[in-house]
Amino acid sequence: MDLILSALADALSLTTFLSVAIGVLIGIVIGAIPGLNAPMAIAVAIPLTFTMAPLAAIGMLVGVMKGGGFGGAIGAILLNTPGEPHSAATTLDGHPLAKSGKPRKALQTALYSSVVGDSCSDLVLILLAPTLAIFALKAGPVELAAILIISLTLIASLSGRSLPKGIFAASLGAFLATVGVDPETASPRFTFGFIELFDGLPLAAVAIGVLAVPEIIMRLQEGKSYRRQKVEEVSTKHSDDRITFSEFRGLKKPIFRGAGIGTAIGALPGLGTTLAAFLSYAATKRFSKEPEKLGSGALEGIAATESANSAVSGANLIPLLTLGIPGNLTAALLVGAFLIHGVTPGPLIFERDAQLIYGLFAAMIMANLLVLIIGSFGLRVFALIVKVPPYVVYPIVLLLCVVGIYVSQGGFFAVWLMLGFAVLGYLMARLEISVVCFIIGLVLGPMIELSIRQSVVLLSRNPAAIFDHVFALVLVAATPVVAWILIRDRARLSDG
Amino acid sequence: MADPQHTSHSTGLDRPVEINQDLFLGIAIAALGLALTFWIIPAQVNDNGSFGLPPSLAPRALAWLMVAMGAVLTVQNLKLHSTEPRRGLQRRDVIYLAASVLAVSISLLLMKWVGAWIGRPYAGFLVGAPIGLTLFTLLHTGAPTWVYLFNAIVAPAVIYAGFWWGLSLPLP
Repeated sequence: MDLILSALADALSLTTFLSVAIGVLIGIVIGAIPGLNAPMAIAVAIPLTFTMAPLAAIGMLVGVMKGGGFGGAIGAILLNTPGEPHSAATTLDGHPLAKSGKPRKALQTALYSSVVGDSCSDLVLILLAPTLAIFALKAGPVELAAILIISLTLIASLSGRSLPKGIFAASLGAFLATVGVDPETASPRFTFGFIELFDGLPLAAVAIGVLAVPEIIMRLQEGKSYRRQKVEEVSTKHSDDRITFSEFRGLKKPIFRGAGIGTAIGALPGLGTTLAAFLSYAATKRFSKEPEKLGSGALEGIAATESANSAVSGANLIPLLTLGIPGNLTAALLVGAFLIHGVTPGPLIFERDAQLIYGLFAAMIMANLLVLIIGSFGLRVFALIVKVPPYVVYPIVLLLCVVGIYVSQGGFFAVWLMLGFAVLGYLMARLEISVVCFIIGLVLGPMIELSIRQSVVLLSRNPAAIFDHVFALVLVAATPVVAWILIRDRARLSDG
Repeated sequence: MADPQHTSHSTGLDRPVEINQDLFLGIAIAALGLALTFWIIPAQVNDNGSFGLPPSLAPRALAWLMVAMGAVLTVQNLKLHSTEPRRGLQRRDVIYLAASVLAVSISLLLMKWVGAWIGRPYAGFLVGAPIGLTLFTLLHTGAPTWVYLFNAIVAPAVIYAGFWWGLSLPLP
């Protein structure tokens, strides 16, 4: 109990509060810029956290994640331009409602549903994760290796259009994770004589390189073909352009259904936010009394999709905190941030860094409240962000990427690395090779290598001992079957 | 409708880089895997003195996985006659990417060298950033004049001041 109170005090300190608030603000602003999204916002924000205390740093990134989730809805509703695939579901009803003269109502519905969905999944995380971690602690390296392999297979199977490309991306990421000093023998691998590579590739440089910079280049490439789109004005002229309490209360079924779907999907690695948003939308249409209204500006549609896709973000931390497995890109970047601050995600985190984790739980709840407050008060300002033309935003964001990496790594070496990975990221995007698989491979690579090495050492003296690890055997046997089923149904499940 | 990844009827900048990109991508991935296995890994990883599993084991396994995936992709695309349109990599993409890399490189080199040239540390950003931002804005090709002025003067000044006074972090 003392531990939880201390964690709460840490979370409520001014530093943590301000970090989370700034994170939420960065997340909403970057998420609202067409073409940028929450994972990019996290990648750009990671360098800013290098000098912070772990709780303030991770709290800030969680704030970016939550703010980015709502920020994405702003572009989707006002511009009909989803920043991420899952926001496409929000455009179905959000944009028609905005076009009918009620953009504020659409944004408020998205904001409130998003906060409720996110809070529900956070509560599930807070209640379940410590218990699941106790079970996870019983897993040895053999079980962990099997879990990691099936998770990476799930992610590779579901991301992108082609399985070979997905597996190639994951293996390239895992290969690049071996750069640096070998943890067992301390001999350098792939350092090419650069002392800067002895600690491995800097995650922030790689993440910004493959995620943010290629997207900026592609947006700049649109060039003169950019046409200013019509943005629905958020004004206070229309009295009925606000959601009333009774209207919001009437949305409790789609919101809680969406939160349930989002939480269940988020807890499984690889399934993704898009699936949650569209499943929730389909379920709401099925159970709606007036299904014909969905698609023409129904509040139910916005509530269902926003609560579901926000619920995924909290639930994604369940496999991350209990097993150290990131379920999606955002979680993979958070793993990187944890490692940068000397915290290793996994079941032991509840023993080694319990105060930090309970502080993080409190910071997550605080972030939800801040999204609600900042989002409500800043609605009109954030709505203006989508109007800023790309030739102003993207060059500045590109310079911020360069500056962020320079400052965080203390030199130009990492900036050149970032540029190299930007070339790789651009080619991957154009050739439809999943960047998600690449980043998750990069983050999971060292864990998989270590657990496999430990397993082989354990089993080398007595190979028959493999039969003592029935759970691992079942998982290894199930991996190709699950992969085959997912590949067969990929068109339906994929994040695109 | 023909798949633009599998045909090359168009000309100029819109022309795909290869006739069947995934086929050549498969070959390139397999070649990368082989180069890693037989050249890079032996040159960069020392297995001598390892007491458990050799440090090259995981890189080798991953390189062979790349070879296998490259081979699968190649075989898939030998047979594949997709009718689904895809954009793929075009010549204009390669040229644009090269121009973007050049713009960032010029900016970085100026940031790195100008301070040393003029004997004033932390002055490189004040030259490299405005030139970099002008080049990045130029890459868009559609920006009005005021944007060049804003991006070249106001934005670098705000960023420099923010990092210098706000975060106490000097820029190059």
